[in-house]
Amino acid sequence: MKVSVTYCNHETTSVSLREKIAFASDDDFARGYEIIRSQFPNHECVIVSTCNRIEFYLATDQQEITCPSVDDFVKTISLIHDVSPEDYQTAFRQQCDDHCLLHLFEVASSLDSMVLGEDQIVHQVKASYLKAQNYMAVGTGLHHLFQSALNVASTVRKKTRLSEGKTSIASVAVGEFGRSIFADYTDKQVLVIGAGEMAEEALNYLRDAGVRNTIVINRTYEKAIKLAETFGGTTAPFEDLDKYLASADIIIAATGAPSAWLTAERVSLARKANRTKTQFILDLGAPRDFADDVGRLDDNLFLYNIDDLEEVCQKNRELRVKEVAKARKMIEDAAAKCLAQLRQRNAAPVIANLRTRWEQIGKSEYDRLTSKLSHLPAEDLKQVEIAVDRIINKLLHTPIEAIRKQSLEESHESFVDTLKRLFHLTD
Amino acid sequence: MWHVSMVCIISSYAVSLLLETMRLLRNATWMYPLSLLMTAAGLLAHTIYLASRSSQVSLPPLVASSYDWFLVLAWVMVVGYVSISLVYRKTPYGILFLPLILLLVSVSLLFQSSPQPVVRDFRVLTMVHTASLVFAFAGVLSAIVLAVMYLLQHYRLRSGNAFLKRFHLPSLEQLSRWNRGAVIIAVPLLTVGVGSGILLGLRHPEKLPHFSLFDPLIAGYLISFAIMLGLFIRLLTTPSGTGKHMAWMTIWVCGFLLLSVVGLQILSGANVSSNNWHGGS
Repeated sequence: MKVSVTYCNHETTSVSLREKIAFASDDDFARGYEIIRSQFPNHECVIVSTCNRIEFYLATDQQEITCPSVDDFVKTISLIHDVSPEDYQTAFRQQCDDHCLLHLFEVASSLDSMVLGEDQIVHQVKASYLKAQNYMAVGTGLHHLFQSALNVASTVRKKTRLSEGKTSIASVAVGEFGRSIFADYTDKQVLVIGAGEMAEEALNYLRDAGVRNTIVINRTYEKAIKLAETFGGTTAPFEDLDKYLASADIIIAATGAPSAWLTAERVSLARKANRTKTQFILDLGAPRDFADDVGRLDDNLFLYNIDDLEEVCQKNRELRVKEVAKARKMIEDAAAKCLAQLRQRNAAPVIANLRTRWEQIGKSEYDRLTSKLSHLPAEDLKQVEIAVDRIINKLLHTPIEAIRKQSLEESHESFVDTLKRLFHLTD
Repeated sequence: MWHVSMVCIISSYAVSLLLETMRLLRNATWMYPLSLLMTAAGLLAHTIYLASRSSQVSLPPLVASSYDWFLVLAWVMVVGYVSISLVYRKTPYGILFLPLILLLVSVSLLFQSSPQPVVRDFRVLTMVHTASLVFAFAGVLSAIVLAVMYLLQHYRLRSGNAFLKRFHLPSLEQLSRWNRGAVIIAVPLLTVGVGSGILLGLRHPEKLPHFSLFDPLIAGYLISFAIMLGLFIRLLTTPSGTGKHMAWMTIWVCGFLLLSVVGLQILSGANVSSNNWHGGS
């Protein structure tokens, strides 16, 4: 089986480019899977789209098919999102086979995350995999890969201390930037726009930090109520957003809106009554919710987005170097095991093919013999049949063992090809 | 002998400033204790020097002369800086405090060190006058440092300056509160200082015949004080956390007060009779 991942993330490109190709809605996913299916038939596919990464996992059992190149993918992405392929030529990276496996395992275990040890990513990977299943895009290959990745992520979380302390993007952002602006959160009004996982993470941290006055605003009012109830906050109708944009001290936005809908004009109008008020805005949306120029409205407004966290997260990474080494060792072991299972899986059809072919030969020889020796009693013929089966099994034992052994090696594909030619095997 | 001591004080603070600057560029763990040690050595020399001066002139260092007054102000600032340094070890606050301390020590050298005879006659009132002014000016200097810290933190947060990211500063809200607090403490003390000074001049005209509210030196102080009072009223009437504007205003007003007082003291050396307590060299 051939697997590959083509991806862009917080290290390869900026949020302004990532947000244009993010899969923010079900419509985006439906369109994405449809176009990928038409561009790369005979491939399984999983799209992982989070605020920090957009990744396309492809797998195929057909050995003669080559992995789609990065350029092929960039063209496909330009079809899905109607963007210029030139803008993304350098944004994407690609990993194949064992490197792809390692990449997925590192992503799921949050080793590749902006905030090391964050556990949101494992939920996001799982959700992406389930979504791909809904679109009938996953087969046995990617199923095995993603199941292994989720298992590894769980082991890493349990057996290392990567997840200790501030390990969510929201907590790092609020902890670092918020604490540089405000000394105390207890008397601050917090406005959370959106009711997704990121909003929940932010509220979780803010509650622990002592925030008492939280307002959740979401387009779907029921979701806002549910989230506010969990964290002891209140809700307000979406129509009242501008009122709270003016009064809140801390604003956290993490909606799934397709573009920056909170423009400078709108925020400026909301702040008109009190431009001296210090406001900390954390835009965790991908695509971003606040327009870039909001941050330049006045000196008392501090706007940060996902990309501003890079340096802060570097410090977080340096603190966990030892745990990273431990986690990486676990990931490498698990990837080697998974790869071996995949290769053995690749060898299975060849073994089955070889066995069927030889059993057919045995059966035809046995049939020819029984027609000539029809005078023999049934009991003797049964003994002959058993003898033929045993000969075939003994003859097959060595090549099958060799195939199994060789399937663990990197060069197993050429060995399998040789066997196919040698024994006239077909897929 | 005193030259050696002053050299000793200035060198200790200068080496400490150098170490603090190096801490910002390359934060090695050994630099903090060494820098603190150098400041402590300077503080010890500073204290011994003030004590020996006091016994030499038989007057508390605060009231002896402008020279001693600036040295005491520098000493108060060093004590404040060492206390902050012991609590907030990660940040090289010396970069902000030590230049001011060195400036105060250097400015003191511009003044005559011989004690003013008038002081011996009204010791208590003069003590109230000088002590309140020393603490008021410590507050003014702290307000300037805090306002600078506010502006640095503001710039760091707005620009994402990589170099400044290593300079861990308290939150804007905290700095704003402290700045406000420093001004609120400084102004009443300044009022007591100015008031006791006027009282001193008005109650004993026979001892201070040149004292007049229209004396350019006294008038200059009063104008600076009035401006400082304006800032105080503004701070009290404006809600806290109004930010950058207030930080700039603090720097301008406190800076003006400081420059005018130091400038007038230096100028008075040529224009005002040495019989005036504020008379300089």
